[in-house]
Amino acid sequence: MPKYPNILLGLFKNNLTREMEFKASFMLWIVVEVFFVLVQVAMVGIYFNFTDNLLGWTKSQVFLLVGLFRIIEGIFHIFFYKNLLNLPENISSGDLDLLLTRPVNSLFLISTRYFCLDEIGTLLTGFLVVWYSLSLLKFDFTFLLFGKLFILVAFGLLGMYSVILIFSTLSFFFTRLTALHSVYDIITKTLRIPIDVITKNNAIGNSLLFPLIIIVTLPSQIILGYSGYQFILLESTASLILFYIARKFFYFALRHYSSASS
Amino acid sequence: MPVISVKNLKKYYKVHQKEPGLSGSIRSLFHRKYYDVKAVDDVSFEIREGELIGFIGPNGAGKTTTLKVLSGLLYPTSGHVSVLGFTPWDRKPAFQKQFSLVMGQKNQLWWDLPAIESFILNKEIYEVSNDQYKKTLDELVKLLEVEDVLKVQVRKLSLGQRMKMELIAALIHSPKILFLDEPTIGLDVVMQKKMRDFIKEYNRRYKSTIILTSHYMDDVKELCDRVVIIDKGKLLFDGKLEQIINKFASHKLITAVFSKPVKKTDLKQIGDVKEFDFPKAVISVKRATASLAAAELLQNFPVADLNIEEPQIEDIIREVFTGKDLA
Repeated sequence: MPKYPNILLGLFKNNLTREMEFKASFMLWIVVEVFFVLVQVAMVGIYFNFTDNLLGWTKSQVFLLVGLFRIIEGIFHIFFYKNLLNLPENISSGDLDLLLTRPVNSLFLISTRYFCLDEIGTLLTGFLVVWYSLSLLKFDFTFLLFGKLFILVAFGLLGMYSVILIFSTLSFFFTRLTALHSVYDIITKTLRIPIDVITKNNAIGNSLLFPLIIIVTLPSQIILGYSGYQFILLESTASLILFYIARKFFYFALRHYSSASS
Repeated sequence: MPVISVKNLKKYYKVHQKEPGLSGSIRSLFHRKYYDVKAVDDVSFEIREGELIGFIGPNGAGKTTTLKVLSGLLYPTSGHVSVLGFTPWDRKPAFQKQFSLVMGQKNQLWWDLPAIESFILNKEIYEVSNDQYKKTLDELVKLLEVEDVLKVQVRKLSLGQRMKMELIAALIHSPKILFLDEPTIGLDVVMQKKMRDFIKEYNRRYKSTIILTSHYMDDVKELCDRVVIIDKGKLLFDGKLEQIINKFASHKLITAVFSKPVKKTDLKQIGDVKEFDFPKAVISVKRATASLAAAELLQNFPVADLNIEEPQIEDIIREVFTGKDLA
């Protein structure tokens, strides 16, 4: 079995070396991402000047959701964003060929080939916002809290990866999928606010958007104590099932890969 | 025991045909006409260990599709394929560690990094030990003479240097089988020769099995003992290069040098006059009657010198691809 940690380390080194070649772009993008997060936090603050709560969510609680989203988005952007969203282009050009001949799990290599290390700004700002919100909410920073955060971020990330993978996989059938970036934008814009605000806690709405709910909204609710510990099990099970479906779909679609003309 | 066995391989694609123009595009939104492209149509062959085979054919013949099926990139429509005892499209890691695919028009190296960084990554992917990696790398770098550019960013290398680095990246794990899809495409004549010398030497030294597709006849003539000709998905020929002449060339060429002026119309009685520029003429005659034609020329014309030769292999193959009979 290939040494996946060594391969990941090799990929990380190559990506880091490449980022260092373009230092100015790297630094500028960090500044831009930090700015975006701060703008989003400020917008939340402005909204809450006009109301005390957003369908049961207070300002500090929404800050927590925003921070959690940014952590999950930051990790997703660093490791998976470029690879999954470029999949249609790689399929169309036939660049996938050389990846598929490697003695490594295809999904692993396709998902992790390129990192966007300049998204580290998003990740770090996300941590700051989470810390700030938990301070406002007077949480005690215990190992248990960190453990819960770690598990929920991991499963939220798995959910996000699975949802985006499903959409990207469609490009095996449709080759050209320029709408993929737009789909990604819509999903991330939706994730920035509590989804029960969109669905107004309607059962059908919650069911339809459940794959998105498990990414940020449910983890936030669990941290805030809304949903109870049994929902950690729901969160983890749902993420794993979603990942199983996404993975199965990917390998099914891979059989339809027809390469491209040389 | 062959290392590669292909039996009745078929690969058909469904492609849609779009009428030209905007109205055609709008119509295709609602109704599309599909037709089957027979990229590979009932092809069978076997390859033994250490052979260096040339796959030749016009564009769209099915050469690259065949390579892609052998390397497991594509699932065939039907047929049986075995490479080193594996079914390629199962994509088992044990199989993938034993072959390499180099595509002349595709790049596996990291564009913004020196090639050696890609080699190190491949070393991890293929689980090559440090000692083996160093030994293999040293040998390949020496053979290809790229010591000076190993640490230069790939995007700053010339095409020829990049192709050499692509080869090293593909060979770092010492594969038993090498699929080379047009490896010399776009290279200048000097670099093409260097690549050919390297491939020949690599095959000789390591007894690796190599399948090469190329449009350059010099690649095939210099490297390949055995040639497979594919056209429109069908296998037309599988054998030694010189046998192509016996199988496909129906004519021979007589080159005559005359000591006195002769009329072109008179020479047409001998055969088809391909060139006529006094004192030299080139006449194409049927293979079976070449000796008789030569005798008739010597008897009836003032011939100072005469030579009978086979047509160029390139000409034969061109005629095979265009479906014309050599005349």
